[in-house]
Amino acid sequence: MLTRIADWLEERTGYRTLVTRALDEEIAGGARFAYVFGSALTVLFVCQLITGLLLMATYTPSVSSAWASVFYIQHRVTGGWFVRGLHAYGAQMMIIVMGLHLLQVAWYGAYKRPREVNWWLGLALLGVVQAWALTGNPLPWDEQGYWASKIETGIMGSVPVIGTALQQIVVGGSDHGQITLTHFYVLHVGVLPLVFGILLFGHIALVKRHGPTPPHDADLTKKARYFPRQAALDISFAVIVMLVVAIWTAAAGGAPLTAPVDPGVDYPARPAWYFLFLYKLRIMLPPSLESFATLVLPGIAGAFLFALPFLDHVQRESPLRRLRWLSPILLGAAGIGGLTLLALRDDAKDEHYVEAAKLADRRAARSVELAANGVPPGGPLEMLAHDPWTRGARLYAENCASCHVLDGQGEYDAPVHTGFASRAWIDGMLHDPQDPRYFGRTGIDDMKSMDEKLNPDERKAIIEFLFAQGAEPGDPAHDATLAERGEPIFRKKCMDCHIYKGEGADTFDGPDMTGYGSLAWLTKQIREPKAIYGDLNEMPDFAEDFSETDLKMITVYLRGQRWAQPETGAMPQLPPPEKKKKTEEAKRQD
Amino acid sequence: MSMDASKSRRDFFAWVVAAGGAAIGALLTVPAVAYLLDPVLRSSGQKGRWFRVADLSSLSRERPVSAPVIGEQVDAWTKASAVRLGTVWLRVLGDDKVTAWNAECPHLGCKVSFDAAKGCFGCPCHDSTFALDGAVQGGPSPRGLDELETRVQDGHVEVRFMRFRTQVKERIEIG
Repeated sequence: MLTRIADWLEERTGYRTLVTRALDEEIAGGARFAYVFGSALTVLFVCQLITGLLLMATYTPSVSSAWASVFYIQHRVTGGWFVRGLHAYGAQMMIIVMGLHLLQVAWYGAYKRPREVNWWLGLALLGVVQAWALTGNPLPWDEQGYWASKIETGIMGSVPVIGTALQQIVVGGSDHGQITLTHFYVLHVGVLPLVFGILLFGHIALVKRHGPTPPHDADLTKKARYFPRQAALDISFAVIVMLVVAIWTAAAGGAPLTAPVDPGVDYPARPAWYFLFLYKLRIMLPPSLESFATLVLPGIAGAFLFALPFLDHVQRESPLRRLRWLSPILLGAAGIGGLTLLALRDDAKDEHYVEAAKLADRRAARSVELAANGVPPGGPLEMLAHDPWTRGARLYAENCASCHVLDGQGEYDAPVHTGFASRAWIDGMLHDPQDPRYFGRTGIDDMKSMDEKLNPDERKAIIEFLFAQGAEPGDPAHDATLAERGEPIFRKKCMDCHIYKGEGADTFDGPDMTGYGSLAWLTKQIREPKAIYGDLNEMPDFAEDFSETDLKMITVYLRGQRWAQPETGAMPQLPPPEKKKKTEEAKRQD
Repeated sequence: MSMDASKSRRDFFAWVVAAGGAAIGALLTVPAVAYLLDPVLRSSGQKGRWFRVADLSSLSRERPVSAPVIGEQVDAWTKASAVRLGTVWLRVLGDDKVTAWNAECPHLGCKVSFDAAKGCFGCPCHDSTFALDGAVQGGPSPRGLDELETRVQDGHVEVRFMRFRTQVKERIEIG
């Protein structure tokens, strides 16, 4: 029955003849492992098509939802992380195998007559794959993709004469935005696959016409058919390549997704690893030679490869006798490898880069955590703008860190905020308010250590009382009994200077401790610090600087420090004492 | 080389081609099928939530009143707080008793409207008509309008909103 259907189909389509002809194709000089790269690339191309189409079924090319849709693919869709990983690492594998393919055919002299046109088609395919990678990376509209593409389009703009226009056409205006993303998308899923497909069709057709290039010393009287030996070699290598891609994906847990891009946030942008060598070269050269690395050298390399069929045309010559033509390629490959490793090593040693990369990782992890609860219709930036741990931290860095320190970031000019209003922080404050970590560097110098005035029990009670002042609904419970015991002690021992619930300190003296550390207290402290610290206050007021939402973000963020430190024990050793002395000396000198 | 050795080597290579092809095929097919089946594997998890849709005083016995169902919606990655999830038709039966129907036609899901002149519900797409009690009067609808659970609290009418599969005689919840 099956045979009859097959015969029927054969009579009408001739498919069997086609397959037989392909399988029985003669390979001059016999099957070789050296010929496996092209078919592995074809398999990778098919993999990219399949995984790409699947991703397109979920991805949305809009600046407000691209990141969230990739988040959804990565963390929600069944097998989504794996499909996306195959696509991302498959693309990188394509670039690697293409490099090997180029080295192999160059070594065998495959660019010589009559295969010149196919050599050029191959070079064009290499160019298309690079453009494919460059337009694919920014599609998640995350920090890495956005910044890298910003730099790449900037380089495109530096091309003489046509650069500016070219850049504006690709970017869709003068700056990155929605049209940029849509342009990248249509290039990536429409234009480039089409161009690649046409070029690949021509490339394969010409391979069929001329056959693979045998080595110069091959015995051409020896003939073999494609099937089964070469076919088995091809498939075996393709299986290995695909397994490496799958294992790469599984080991990395899928392709990375950095935080949604906010152009106001610093990001240590690097190009994808396969372009790192150009980045490194650019950094190693003086700035005046920048265009040498970004344009001239790639241009020369491209022109050399294009011209190779004209430069080296002696038929069937040993590679060793062609070294003057092959050495630029070999040196280029070695240079690319060396510069890539150098760039990776130098980044790993660069503290600023490592620190910035760590912060970026934290932003990414936090974004994913938030997106798990749903992304608002406004997109991931709206989501982050309402997250105290993101927005609050950023406002702190921009407005507070020029005097205060939190988590080791900032300047030691005012009280340290690491663990602010936690039990340990209050304890340390009672021990020595003039410690440089508290008010030692401010004009507030009228409170002295309470160590002698409080016995250990009273001290514990007062700490709990003050800690309880900052409690808000939903907080972990504090020890209410202990806090209650602390109130009369506070009234007796502290209210000569401090105010509590409108009582105490006849004239303004010490700060009002009612609700100390609560959202309302922090809001007041930020809006009008003078109202809390009186004439000794040095902190500028931020009455106009924050919107209501931002104020909430930063106060919630600061209040988070209540639990940032262990509940007992001393404050961490934060400010290096040398630094303090230096600052004071510097101040005195001023 | 003997013919046998040559043949067995040929067979081995043919086997490698078949196995390798199958391996690559499986590596691409399995994740692809899982990915495509995701919507089937996923349940919306939002079945039958209660929504406040109208005030009792705005309803009548004679004439059904339509009301929007507005609430939180999770659509893929997006969570929106006030989105129109659907429409219900409401009619007072007695004292504190309100009947509610999902306005989606059980035939193919178009929005059913009320024809005051004829005193019945009608679907604009394929002319299904429904009596004042929701029963099918005419047209292709396989069943009457889908009735929803209701309750009245402090004069507010609340509906347990859900949707049902179209095209079938039985009522099957779809979230």
